[in-house]
Amino acid sequence: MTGPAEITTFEITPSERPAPPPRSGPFFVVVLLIGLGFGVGGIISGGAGVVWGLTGGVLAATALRWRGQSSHPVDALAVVFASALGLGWSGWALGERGSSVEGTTALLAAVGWLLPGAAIGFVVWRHSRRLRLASVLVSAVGWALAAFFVFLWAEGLGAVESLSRTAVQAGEIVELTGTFYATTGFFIALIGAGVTFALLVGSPALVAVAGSITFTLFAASQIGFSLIKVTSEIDKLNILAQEFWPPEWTWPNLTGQPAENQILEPMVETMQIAVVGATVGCLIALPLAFLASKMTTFNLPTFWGSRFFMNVIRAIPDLFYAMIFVSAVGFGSPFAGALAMIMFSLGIMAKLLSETVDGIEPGPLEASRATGARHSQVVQYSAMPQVLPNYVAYALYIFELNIRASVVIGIVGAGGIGRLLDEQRVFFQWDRVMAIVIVIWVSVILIEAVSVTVRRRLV
Amino acid sequence: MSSTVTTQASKSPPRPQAPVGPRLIRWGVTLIILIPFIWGALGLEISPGRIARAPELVWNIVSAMFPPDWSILGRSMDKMLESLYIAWVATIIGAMFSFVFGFLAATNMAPRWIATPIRALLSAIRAFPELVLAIMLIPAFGLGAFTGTLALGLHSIGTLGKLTSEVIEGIDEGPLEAMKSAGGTKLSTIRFGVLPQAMPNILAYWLYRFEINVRASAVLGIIGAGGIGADLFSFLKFRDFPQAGMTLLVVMVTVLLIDGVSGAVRRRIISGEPGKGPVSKLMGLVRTPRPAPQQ
Repeated sequence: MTGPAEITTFEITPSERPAPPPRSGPFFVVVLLIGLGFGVGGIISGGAGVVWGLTGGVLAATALRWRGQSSHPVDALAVVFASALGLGWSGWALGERGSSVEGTTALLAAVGWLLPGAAIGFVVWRHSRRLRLASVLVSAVGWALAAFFVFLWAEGLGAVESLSRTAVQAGEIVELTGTFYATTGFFIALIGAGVTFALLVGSPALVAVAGSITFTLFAASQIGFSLIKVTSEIDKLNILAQEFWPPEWTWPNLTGQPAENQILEPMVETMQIAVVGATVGCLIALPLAFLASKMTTFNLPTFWGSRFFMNVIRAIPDLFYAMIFVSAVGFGSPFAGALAMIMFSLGIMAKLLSETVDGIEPGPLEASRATGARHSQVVQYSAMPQVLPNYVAYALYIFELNIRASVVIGIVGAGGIGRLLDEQRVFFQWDRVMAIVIVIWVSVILIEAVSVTVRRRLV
Repeated sequence: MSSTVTTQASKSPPRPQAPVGPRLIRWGVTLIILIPFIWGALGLEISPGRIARAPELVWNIVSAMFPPDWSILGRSMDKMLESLYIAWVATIIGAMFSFVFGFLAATNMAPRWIATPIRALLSAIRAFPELVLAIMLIPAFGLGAFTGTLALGLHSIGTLGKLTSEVIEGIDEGPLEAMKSAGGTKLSTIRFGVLPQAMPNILAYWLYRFEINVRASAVLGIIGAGGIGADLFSFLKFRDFPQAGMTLLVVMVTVLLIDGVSGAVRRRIISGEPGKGPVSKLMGLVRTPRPAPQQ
């Protein structure tokens, strides 16, 4: 036998020591620097695309070198040359625009951004062992797409607003300001470099983020929602205080008499609509949910059929149901509202419950099948007890949702307090609207509080 | 031997009486459901005659809608796109603000004197339905998509803030303690302790909110706050049923598509399995696969 375990020491000889990691800054700083480069380039250029590209290219090449992505002067030259050429084209295409930057102009101008995208992608590819050559192409397309959407965005946004609108409308060729070039350059390069480096880091999430930012800019421009607009409009919020305060609680009805409980009565009607909708909807949802779960369905056609039915029901918003039922059974009828709420509850409950049924324990089902139970008995005695607590909790939750939904269905004429809201709204009686809103708000909060307490006890 | 067994079985004691408690509970529950239902039904002028006639009336409308008027397909798609843009921007607003508010409202992240008022604020925002918020913003910002986006965004802050704070409160405290004991700052605890645990769920909630916002923004047009709702409202009002049918069809198909895609992405995010989706495939074209970990 040998003695006690010997203590062995390992020494790392200099040759075994791992090589120090390559010098590199955090990549988002590089992305930001490249963005700033093209932004600053836009200010300096004053519309001359080549200057825009040169400045941006030089700063981008410096940033890449700092990150350790470029070690050869050829890299830097490629980036600067491609940027100058591409943005020279882009600037020319923008300068030639007729009335505004739209579709074709944006597309033409965006084509130029393929070049800096490709060059930067190329440099990154040259210094990475993991990237394939196709990444250069993806990088170029990413930059060009970003450019296309950013130009469209800038057109819809106030970036062009400093130009005289009348001149644009008259069809004159107006020069774009430095702000335009700076803003667009910054965002395009930011998003483009984000895509390029996302490829390098290997993160689909980063590509998704870059895509989301681009789409957000574009969507915001399409609906006239911009940061400039928000900041300029935000003072208008004090109009709200003037218009809405103080609330007016009673007002004369059509006969000129001051009415009693004119807010509370429709609110009660709203609750009645919600109760009836939730009860009937949840009852109908029970068989549908069992049919739409693989655990308890009869056969595949029933399963797919009921699932499709369930999804289609859920695809129509609650107020659309209300509108359809109002045109079917008559304007101002709470019955239409109740029907709408039934469909609304049915869709949600069937979805939630069928997902719960999917997750139940299969053992009890098999056991009762083995004793020769019929399908309905299997469902009733083996599946039902497993989902009953969830079913009750969902029902309460749906009742809450129903209260919220049924306060507004009156706006399209389906009864309840929404009708009152709409009557006062169209005559701009904002102080009365305020009173109604307060009643709605308090009841929603109260019912939510009660329902949450009960649900907590149940599950 | 076997005969004795059978006689023993047949002599088994009489079945015990069913206990009264569960039956009482069953009756009680039935009454709790039935009484409000009857109260509700009485207030809504629902008569058997009306119920019997309702399916026929609804069927009349639905059959008048089909076949839909295909000539307005382009217009409907434009309007639906506007609704989509509204929903997207509102979701982004909601996500950005609720991310901050979610941390401030989580009791394990913020002190109680901050968390409690922020929670109250979030539930106060949530209690306004989107349409009511939009109605209240109209006098300041006028009719149009801008108002609708603000209203939807505000409401999303309320709902997402609550969900985010619940996710953050549900995380495992272990990694946080480890980081604190290693001398990590508050910010690095959040970045490396909280976010990796909470982010998948938060992201899934953002997508889920987008699905809801698409439905909500389709409705906003009814009060003039932008989107496809205005179309459906006026078509139904002027009883242009084929055109209303087309509008409804566009909404349904869009919502179904978005639900499908977003649901698939959500499942993928939550399960955390390596992706087989288009983005991952694109990544495979561009990058060589990661080398297998060495044993």
